[in-house]
Amino acid sequence: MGISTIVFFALHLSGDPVRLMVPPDATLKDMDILRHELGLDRPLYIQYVEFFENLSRGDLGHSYVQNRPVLDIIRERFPYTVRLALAALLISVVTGIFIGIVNAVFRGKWIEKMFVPFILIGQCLPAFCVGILLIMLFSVQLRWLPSTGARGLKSLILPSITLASLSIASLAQVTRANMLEQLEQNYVRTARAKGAGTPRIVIWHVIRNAGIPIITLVGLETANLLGGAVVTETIFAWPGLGLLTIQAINARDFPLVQAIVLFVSIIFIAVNFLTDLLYVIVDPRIKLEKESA
Amino acid sequence: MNSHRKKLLRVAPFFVVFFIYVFAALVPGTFSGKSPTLTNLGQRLQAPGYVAREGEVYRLGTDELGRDIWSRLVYGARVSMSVSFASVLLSATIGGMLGVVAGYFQNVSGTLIMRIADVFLSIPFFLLAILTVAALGPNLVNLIVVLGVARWPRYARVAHGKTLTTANQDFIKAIVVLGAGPGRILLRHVLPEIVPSLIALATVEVGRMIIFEASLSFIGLGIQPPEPSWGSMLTQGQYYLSQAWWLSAFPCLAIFFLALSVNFIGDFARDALDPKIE
Repeated sequence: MGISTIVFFALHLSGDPVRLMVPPDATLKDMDILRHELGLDRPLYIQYVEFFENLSRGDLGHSYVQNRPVLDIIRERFPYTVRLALAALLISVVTGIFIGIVNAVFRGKWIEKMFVPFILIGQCLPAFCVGILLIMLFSVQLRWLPSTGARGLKSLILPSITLASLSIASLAQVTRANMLEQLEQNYVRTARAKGAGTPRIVIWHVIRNAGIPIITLVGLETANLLGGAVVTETIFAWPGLGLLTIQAINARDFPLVQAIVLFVSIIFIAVNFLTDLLYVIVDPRIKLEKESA
Repeated sequence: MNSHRKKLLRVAPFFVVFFIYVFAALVPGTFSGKSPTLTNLGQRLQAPGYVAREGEVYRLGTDELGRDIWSRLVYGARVSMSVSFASVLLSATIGGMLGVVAGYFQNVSGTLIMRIADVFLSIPFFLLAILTVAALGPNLVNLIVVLGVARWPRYARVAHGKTLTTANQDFIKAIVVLGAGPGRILLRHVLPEIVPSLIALATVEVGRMIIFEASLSFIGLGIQPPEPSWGSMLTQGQYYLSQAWWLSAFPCLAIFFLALSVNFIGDFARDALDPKIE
């Protein structure tokens, strides 16, 4: 509710969509008629109340430009973004956690130093730079991978790496910090005393204990991926929600923009909620504490 | 003390890089005599090191309209720096004040402030920024306002948490007994406790804002052409990737080195001021 209020007013600050929708030779009267049809000539508060009435019925309105329910449009585009975000999440979680674990285990050795440039790049280069550099290398120079479109698995590779680059660095750092903390715990010493080797200790004991903050971050990063998708999809002309957002904003398509932001925010909240649920699965202590309290 | 000096020595090069950027933003003319917006279609897309007939050297080449890329980078520093610093200042001020007020007066308005902060945090930040910049119209002031306003809840949370712990300490109770009013307590006693944490967060945020500004410019919602900005240089550059790599590569490097130095300085400041901030 709060979200939709912010979104509603932010959008209606933005001026007149009608002027952008009509052909340049339209008369003032034509524009008035269109404005009336869209209900834009009524006072703002009435539009606001109506917006909520419709929202409560699950009706997010019709797109001004495409003249069909916005939910249909979102439903068409959303799978592309999901595909992209899932691929990116997979890449960033696997590489991020891997780098983090390796860095913690080989603390101060040359292996750790080897990853430093990657982490810095992830932290200091915006996603679109990574994307453009990847296109330069793999599409323009080597001609291995397509730079635009969404045809098949091959065209998914570059966008998902680009999107993943946002979160690899922070995942690696948080993993490393938590692993280091856990590696100093008594249970690790006990396991070592009982003769367990480093791989066994890391895989069976430490990862599980270092898991909670990492999961929190994965949840946050998933949400960030949805925002980052806007830029990534623009670079690679990937037909997902991100590209749709930009198109809708440029066309002043209020209902569509409203719906997208609401939709993404709901997913954002749902992801955060799921992350909380995951805690209980990963760390049984959390559940027990709640019950006894 | 010794380890502190060692750390300072390690970040020193980044301070140097950073001040070069600051200098470029303040007096771009000393770095480049050419105009960043002067077009010359006769010499478009020339490679780095191009020497014009009049003997003028284009160190980093020219772009699709024959403009000097080096000048555009230098003048683009101004946009990047002013947006990131001003927006951080704005959000730290708003967030800091609201957070302190919410933490000190634990009444309805305090709760309300923190609830609103939660609502802001539940909208993906980048989407919110895109939305509002698009609504208000992309220009320098709006960019600063939007990034500043959208980011205040982070400062409010830090300020709120810090104020809660500070306000319960004995010295505050002692001052209350001595008869100090809330204004004096907040300004003279609570605020000094909180400012270091806010500065620590702010130094981290500057790096993020540099990247956000570049991203917004990249998708066409930043500074409008022909004014140079690193993000929008890349928007154009991506169409010429196969013919002219220098259009995209140099703005990327400019962003990278600025963000790099700001991040290292930020880490240093955070260690020195408040090690507990995320």
